[in-house]
Formats: sequence, C-alpha cells, structure tokens
Amino acid sequence: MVSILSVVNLHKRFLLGGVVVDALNGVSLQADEGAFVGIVGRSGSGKSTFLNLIGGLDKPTGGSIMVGDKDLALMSSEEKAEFRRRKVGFVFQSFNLIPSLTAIENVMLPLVFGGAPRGERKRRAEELLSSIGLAGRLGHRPGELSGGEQQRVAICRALAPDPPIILADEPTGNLDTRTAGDIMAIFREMNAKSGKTIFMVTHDMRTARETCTKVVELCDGRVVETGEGGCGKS
Amino acid sequence: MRLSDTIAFALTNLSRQKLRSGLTAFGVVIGAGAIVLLISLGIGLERAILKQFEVNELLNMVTVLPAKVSFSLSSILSQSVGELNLKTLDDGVVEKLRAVDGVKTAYPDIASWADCRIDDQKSYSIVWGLPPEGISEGLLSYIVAGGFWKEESDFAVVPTNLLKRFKIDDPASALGKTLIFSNFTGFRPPGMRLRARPQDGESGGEPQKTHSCTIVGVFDSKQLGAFGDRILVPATLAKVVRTIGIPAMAGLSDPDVEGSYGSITVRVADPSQVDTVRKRIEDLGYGTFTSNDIAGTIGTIFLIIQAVLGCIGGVGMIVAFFGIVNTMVMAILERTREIGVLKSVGARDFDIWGIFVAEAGMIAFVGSIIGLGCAWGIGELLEIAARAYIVSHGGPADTNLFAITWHLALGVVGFSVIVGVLAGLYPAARAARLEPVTALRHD
Ligand SMILES: Nc1ncnc2c1ncn2[C@@H]1O[C@H](COP(=O)(O)OP(=O)(O)O)[C@@H](O)[C@H]1O
Ligand SMILES: [Mg+2]
Repeated sequence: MVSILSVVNLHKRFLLGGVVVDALNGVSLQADEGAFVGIVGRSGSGKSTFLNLIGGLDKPTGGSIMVGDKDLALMSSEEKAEFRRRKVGFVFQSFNLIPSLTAIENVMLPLVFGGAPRGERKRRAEELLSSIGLAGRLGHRPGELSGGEQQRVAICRALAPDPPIILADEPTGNLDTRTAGDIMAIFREMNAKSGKTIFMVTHDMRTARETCTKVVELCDGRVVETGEGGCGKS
Repeated sequence: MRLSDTIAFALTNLSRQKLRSGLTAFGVVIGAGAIVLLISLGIGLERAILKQFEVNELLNMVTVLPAKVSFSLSSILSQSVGELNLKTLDDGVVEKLRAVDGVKTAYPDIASWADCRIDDQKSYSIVWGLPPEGISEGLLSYIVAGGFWKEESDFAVVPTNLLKRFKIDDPASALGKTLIFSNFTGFRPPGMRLRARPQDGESGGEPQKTHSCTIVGVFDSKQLGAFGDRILVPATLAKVVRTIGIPAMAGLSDPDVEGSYGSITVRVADPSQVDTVRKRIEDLGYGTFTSNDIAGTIGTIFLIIQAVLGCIGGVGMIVAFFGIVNTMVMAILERTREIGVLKSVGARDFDIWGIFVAEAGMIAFVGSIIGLGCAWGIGELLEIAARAYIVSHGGPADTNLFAITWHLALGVVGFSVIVGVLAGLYPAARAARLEPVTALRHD
C-alpha cells in the first residue's frame, strides 16, 4: 500500500481574545491511497480543523503533514493554492456554491483557475454533471436547485480537476435521510470505482462503520482509539 | 487564471449588484463627462481662434519690428518695453529688407486707430495703408463688392463686419459712400496711453481733425480671420489718417520721428521659406513675427485653460475614486465567504486580486464610456444653442465649440480605467490576503 497522507503530532492552537483553544493537540494519522477515512467525534472535537489543515486551507501551529513526499507546512501560499487545485477536492456541509454562477460554471471553477482551455472545461463539467444525473440542470443557479442537487454539483466541482484526495466535511449534514443516502452512495462509488482517497467528517458513527475502511474518532483535539467507546461517556 | 476569465468573472459579479455598480459608475460618468465636456470646450475654442490665424494671405508674411520681441507666453508676461533696444524702421530699412534673399516685397505698415463715420453713424477701426505691391492676389479674391483703388487717392476698401456695425447689409450699397475719419475716441489699446501724442491736449481739449474718403470696395472680413477687422487705404492716405488717429502696432515706434514706421511687412516668395527668411532678417538685428507666433502663444494659453478645466473635472474623478473604493470594500465584505470558496478550489491570491481590480476597472471603464456619450450629447445641445446665438449675431454657422478628439476620448477612458484600477488596489489586496479558513467561516 502506498501512503498518501501522513500526519505526525499535529497541533492547532487558536487564540481568541486571550483565550487559548487547542483545537488539535497532537494528532498523528496515516492513510493509504484508496482509503476511505471516516472522522467522527463530538461537535468541537477538532474534525473540521483537521480537515482544513490536511487540505491546505489553514496552517498548523505544530507537527507535520506529509502529502506524498511534500510537507504542507513548508509550502508557500502559491504552492498551497496549486495543491488545493490539483491534489484535493473539498465538499462542504453547506455546499458553498457561488450563487451567481450556474451549475456548470461552478463545476468549471477549479479548471478556470487552472487555466484549462474553455472547450475542455466545458466538456469535463458536462461529463461530470451528466454522470451524476444533473444533465438537465447545467444552466441552473444554486438557488434554483434542491439541497441534494446542490451537493451533487459541489461534488462534481471537487472532482473536476480529478484530484486524488476528496475532503468532505459533513457532506450530508444539511440533507434529509434519503438524499443523504444517495450522496453517501456517490462517495462510495468515487472510492470504489475511481479510487479516490476520501476523508469524510461525519457525526453518524453507524454510517462511518458501514462505509469507511478506517474510522478515526477525535476527542478534544486528540485521536481516541476506535472501539474505545468514545470520549464523552468516560 | 486567464485575463479573459478574470474579466468575465468580474462582469458576472458586477451584474449581480446592478444598482450598486450603476450608482458607482455614475460617479465616473460625472467625473469623466465633466472632463470631456470642459476639455472639448477648450479644444473647440482654441480651434475656433486658431482658425482666425490660419489664413493663406498670412502664410507668406513676416512682420518686421523695431526690436526683438518674443511672443512666447512667459516673455509676454514679463517683458517691459523699456528693456527693448529699439531700431528705427524707415525707408532705408525697407530697401534693405527688399534686398534680403527670398523676399518678394517689403513695405511699411502705416496703421492707426481712428474713429470713422458713414452718414450719421459712428464707429472706429484700424486704418491700414497698403502700397500697390501690398494688394495681393489673395486680397483681390476677398473682394465682395467694387474693387481696389486704381490710383493713390482718398479711397478706402472696407471690411464686411464694419458695414455690419453700420447696419449696411448689402455691400454694394456702401460703394460710393463717404467715410469720414476723425480723432480716435474708442477704446485705448493697452499701452497706448503711454504714447499719447503731444498735440493731443488734455481731456476734451484736443482739436477735432477730420478727413474724408470714398468707399470703392468691400472685402469679406472673415477671409482674413483675426486680421479682417481693418479698413484698407492707400499708403498716402494712411499717412494722413495717422496724424488724426493714434498709431496702431503696440507703440513700438515713435510716430513723431518723421519717416519712421511701427512695423514693416515682408512678403516671402515661397511660404515654406518663411522661417529661413525671418532668420535672415533677425540676423540683421530686427524683430520679426509671423502668424505662427500668435498661434503658438494661443496654443500655450489654451493648454493652460484646458489643464485648469481638466482639473475641475478631475475633482469629480476624485469623488468617483472614493466611490469605487467604498463599493469594492463593501463587495469584499459581502463576498468574504465566496473568496474562501474560490481559494478552496485553488484560486491564487493573485487571481482574487485580479478579479477585484478588474471589477473596479470595469466600473470605471463603463462609467467613462457613458460619460463620454453624455458629454458628447450635452456638447451637441450646447453647440446648437451657441450656433443659433452666433448666427443671430452675424457670425458663421460652422462653429464647433465642443471638439471631442480621439486623443481626448481615449485619454479620458484610459485615465478613468487607471483611476478605477487604483481605487481597486487596496480592497483587492485585502481580499487577496484573506486566510481561506477565516474567509470560509465568515457569514
Ligand atoms: N478560526 C477559529 N478561531 C477560534 N477558534 C476556533 C476556530 N476554528 C475552530 N475553533 C475552535 O476549535 C475547536 C474545534 O473546532 P472544529 O474543528 O470546527 O470542531 P468540529 O468540526 O469537530 O465541530 C472548537 O472549540 C472551535 O471553537
Ligand atoms: Mg465541523
């Protein structure tokens, strides 16, 4: 197995008006290519912070994040932008689509920043949206789409540059149970058929156990050994 | 990110907030419009005035003066007559000038201001003496009624605009009328006071002198531009009138020195040789000037006027500048989360910066184009009104007071875009610096 991500002793400390919050307090984790990693834990345990750090959206205050043979902590802001564009795709709980852009324009966005030719962007975005059942929604704006449809557009956007890693922060958190099931199915397929390595934050332990190849539970910024029964109960 | 994508993205964003973008652009419309309107007025006026000096008849003319005088603006403002080393211009000098290489002919200018009367109406004018060789082909072609005198006697050729002042509409009806010159009581040209003639008694006491002549011809004053407002008489008559009126030509010569002239007109054989010939004359120690000098001075004056008018319009641009800054800061506050999203899908800081700078520049670009259109429209309306006024006062119908040149149009659009881009720099830099996570958590 080829290691795709290796996190060692990761720290993230926030200073908010003199109050120190250690969102991550020494997290170490290793994931292989093609893994489906579920990250669970109570609200405020540091899940989003962890995802943001490995996605290069934020800087750690300690520790290292190795992606392949590169240390994220050492990258310039320019290099991190390229890393986000080529290596990872984000899927957020609140979709985070650009409201003024149509579905297809939202999907094309990472390719626009990558400087891909116009025709190629369009073809790629159409292909992705069609494969996910949104062929009839290309010209719709986010406001004209249901939650499930918006999240599928967001997934297409994450997949557009064909990154090896997908980072999803409670992607079903804003959806009803049935739609959530559909979205989970898409992630499973991404992992199984396209071989994407997925890190998914979820508060649903059962789904995590069913779907993920590996489940990591965070508690107050630390990894709790899975199967230990969670930290809140002790 | 490609430039075309940046611009397309910026356009999408602007069209999202049409009202706000429009109101911000309106500031630029006013600023750019005011600049265009004011400067085009400056250009139009300058052209209208310069046209008065672009007369074929003047192109081969060099006026020789008793001293070297600079006609540049700064020296006009600082020169004092006392510093000048005056030479006497007499018949000997005329002969000397005739001998200069390239000179076709030379003759003294005998010109004076005098009151003049036709029937019982009074006005005043410059009375200009012309020797036979001064009656050029050009002058002959400007005649609209009668013609020049056949013998040097008490005859006069008058300009159409003088007849207008005498309410004579048909030039032909002026022919044969008696024109009476008398002591000048009209306005005093600047500097004339200093050279008041000794025999002019103190106020009111001067003896009334008159001299009459017959109008034999009328010329079209417009054809001579700024030089059209003068009565042409034979040189012999001009000498007589000079004892009645006061000498014209800036008082550079002493009219009481017998046989001396205020200036001498030199006609150059080849108009393209004017500058060479004037150089030869200046080497003899005389001053010269050509219609180009006046044109140059007027050009400088109008450059200053245009700069001042431009600055007035520029104040509007300063207001527009802060309008754009304000709009962009607001837009960035509103779109902070969106900036985070763009960064999460791989936008570089530079891409974000470019988008906001492009938006600011685009507001200014659109505003300046509309401003240009408005200025053109308002200029046309004012033009129509001005023309009606000018025509009703006997002026030409082909004036163009508001001249929007390509330079002006492109210059203002370019300037506006620069102002817009500058206004966008600070907000765009703020947007580019945003931390992705901070931006994403914003709502
Ligand atoms: N930008 C921030 N500034 C200050 N505190 C933060 C910031 N981001 C997260 N935190 C704090 O860090 C802790 C972990 O947050 P988060 O990673 O969002 O938890 P989770 O996603 O597991 O709910 C929380 O206590 C939160 O208040
Ligand atoms: Mg979270």
